[in-house]
Amino acid sequence: MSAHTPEFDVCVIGSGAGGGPVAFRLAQAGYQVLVLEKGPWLKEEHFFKDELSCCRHSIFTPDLADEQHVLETRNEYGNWYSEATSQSGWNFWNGNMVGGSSNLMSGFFYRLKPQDFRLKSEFGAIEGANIEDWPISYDDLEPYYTLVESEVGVSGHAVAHAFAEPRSTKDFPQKPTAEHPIVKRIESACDALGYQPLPTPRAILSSPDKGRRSCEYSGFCGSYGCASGAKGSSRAALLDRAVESGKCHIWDNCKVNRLISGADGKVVEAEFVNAEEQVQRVSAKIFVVACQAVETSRLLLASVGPKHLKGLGNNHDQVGKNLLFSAGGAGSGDLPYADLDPESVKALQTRGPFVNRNLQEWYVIDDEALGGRVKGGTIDFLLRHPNALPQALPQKWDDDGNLLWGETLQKRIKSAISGQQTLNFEVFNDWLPTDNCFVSLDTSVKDRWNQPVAKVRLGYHEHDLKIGNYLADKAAGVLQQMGAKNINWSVSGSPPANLMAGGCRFGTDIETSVLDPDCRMHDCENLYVTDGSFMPTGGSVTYTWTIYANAFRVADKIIAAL
Amino acid sequence: MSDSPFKLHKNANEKEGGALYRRQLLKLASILPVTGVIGPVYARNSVSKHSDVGAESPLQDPWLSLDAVQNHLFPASESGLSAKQFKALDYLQSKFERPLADHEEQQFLFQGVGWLNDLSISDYRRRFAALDYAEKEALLQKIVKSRAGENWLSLIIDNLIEALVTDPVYSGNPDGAGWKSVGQIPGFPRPQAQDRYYELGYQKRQRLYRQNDEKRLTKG
Ligand SMILES: Cc1cc2nc3c(=O)[nH]c(=O)nc-3n(C[C@H](O)[C@H](O)[C@H](O)COP(=O)(O)OP(=O)(O)OC[C@H]3O[C@@H](n4cnc5c(N)ncnc54)[C@H](O)[C@@H]3O)c2cc1C
Ligand code: SF4
Repeated sequence: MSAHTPEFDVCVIGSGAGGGPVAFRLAQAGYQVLVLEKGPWLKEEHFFKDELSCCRHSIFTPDLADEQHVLETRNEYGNWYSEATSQSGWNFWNGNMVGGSSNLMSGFFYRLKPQDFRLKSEFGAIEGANIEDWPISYDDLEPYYTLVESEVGVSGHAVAHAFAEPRSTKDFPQKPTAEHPIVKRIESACDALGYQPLPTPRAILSSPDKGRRSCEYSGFCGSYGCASGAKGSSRAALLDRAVESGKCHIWDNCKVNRLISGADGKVVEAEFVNAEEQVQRVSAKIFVVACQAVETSRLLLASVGPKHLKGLGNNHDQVGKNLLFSAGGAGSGDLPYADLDPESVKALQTRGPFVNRNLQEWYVIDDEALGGRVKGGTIDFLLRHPNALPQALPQKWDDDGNLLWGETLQKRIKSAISGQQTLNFEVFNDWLPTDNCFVSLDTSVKDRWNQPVAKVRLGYHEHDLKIGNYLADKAAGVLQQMGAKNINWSVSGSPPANLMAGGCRFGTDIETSVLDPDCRMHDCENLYVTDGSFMPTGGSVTYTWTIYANAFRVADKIIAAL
Repeated sequence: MSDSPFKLHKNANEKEGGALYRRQLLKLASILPVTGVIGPVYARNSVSKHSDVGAESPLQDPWLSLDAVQNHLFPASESGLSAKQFKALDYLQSKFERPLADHEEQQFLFQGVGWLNDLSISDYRRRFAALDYAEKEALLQKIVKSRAGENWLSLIIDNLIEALVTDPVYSGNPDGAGWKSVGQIPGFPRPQAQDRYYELGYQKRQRLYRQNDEKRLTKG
């Protein structure tokens, strides 16, 4: 097809939290939108609580023999060592389907706070970290955070506290989801310690809205697709409605290999491989990339053109740089049923409702032990994931690594699965951007269609561990106060692959950023990036709400540009 | 057989577990000679739904021995169901009939049956299924001391646990009896036959890719 008559107004590549809002808003505004999504189109009727399809033979991510990553980590001698994920046992895919990983999230939803937009000017530079302020402020994003509350559906309850972010509305449009009886125990432990436990907002509907059912409390939520439509995935909340408008077309099983740009540097076509493994092209006036941080950088780096000899937008070697994750760690403690009265046991055995409690006492920490005032983070409490296999399988080994069987093993399995309630916590703090955390193209490993795969260097800043440990210690204190047994936690520089951002920073200087403050590529006027790649720093919370909000903001900029 | 890998003692320096080690082991299994009575065809249709061990059992090897090993590892006890009660053999058999089955794993399990019976015959002059409880226990305690033996038993236990707690749609855990026995409360909605993992998403696509690759190979 001729590139002079673009087939679509806007072509969105990747249909997750970054892509959905753009497709939705543009279709709503009457533009012809095409969404290219590499994964399958799974809908409510395809989601089951089947541990084998969720977590042992994932239906949501590619086979690593076909598509993988190369990960670079530092070995014990301090040298960088790279290994393909098909060899290492790591998996860096999160969720590849219409709606992306947002289908699988647990839906803990947090706004960033005003300080997160100006980390450098609030807390100063840190040696070895490339910290920068954002080119926009919290106030610029606030209306869009509010929009996400109603369009994606966020349930919660706003309370006043030291680090409460300013809101333009009084409270959430949806009441909090039902809460597990363990919350009472968390609250009394926090009371005793003088902490203020906060209700955690969730991208989960507590009552039906816009054709979606409310949560049915299956107990199996994170890592599973939602059969009721209550979870605020980009698909259930936005794309289904965009498609209904008749203006949005979703081509699933279409993996974009590269974007083709012309002599003027503008993108003309997207080249993709479809389900039949044929290579095809499609044209549009504006292209929006939202493939999730690592794959967005991979796609841009692979898209060489006459004005973009090192990849789209990479004339200043910034694409893929300053990749972010969420720093921190996780821990747990058991409440063994043998220690409790029958009524408490019954309450703790409840399956379905959520914990919905977090602590932000230490979002900013002023402690001499950490050298004065520093940025801290968030502690989130949650029940242990109910999947049975990860509980049962390790029981076959005793403490000395001997294989067990017979009644000994049967007892251990039963006790691991139903002998106690286990409360977990997760700590979220800033993953400082450094020169040792970035995406490039691997020079030897190719995917099934002979395209270079992304190579990810996974370095971290020691400061992240210091803060993570500080917070984890506080969280463990709460578990201790609750009388939990077997308390343990770990904080490490090993990144959670499901919380990734950065790689295409937005900023005002083309020398140090890839995108302008509108998330339009500095040197490619018809290309926008709307997943988490734009973030110069990630805040001390899970940041999908911010990805959604920013994508809504950029959608308005695109409408203005069209 | 003196060269049975079930007789090789574990090397204390060897690294435990891990996907890579298992892969090496499966590779080793595929080059070692198949001993014992296992023929190349392992027909499932020779298997009764009720897998009774003993002289009158309609099972043939390798299933006969695997069934005996499974029921020794997971006996009926106060703490749980027996392998037979949660249909562990049905699970295992149907697992290898699934479209994306791991046939390397299957081959390793089957070869292990050969090694096990070689050892059983050399120590007791009888095949494993015909041993009494104490003899079975002694033999398994002996093979677990070898790296190959430990991996083989470990794989069988993994499959037993899968049969116990995965959805009944995969042929184990009948009517959720396995879940009930360990106190697991399942989620919902639960899958029906047409919703098993290999019918959906990337797993379904994987089947198409395999077909495409086969077509390409036969053309080329
Ligand atoms: C198990 C799990 C739990 C989580 N829990 C939480 C939580 O509680 N709170 C929270 O805030 N966040 C959570 N997250 C993170 C959240 O899902 C992500 O932050 C968010 O979805 C990221 O949005 P995205 O648009 O960058 O990527 P995605 O939503 O993953 O979307 C990217 C899409 O692009 C597609 N794509 C990639 N490459 C190409 C290509 N070349 N061509 C075409 N399409 C392509 C992918 O297939 C994918 O569908 C969780 C994630 C997981 C996996
Ligand atoms: S718990 Fe609620 S939001 Fe989560 S998958 Fe089930 S119905 Fe959906």
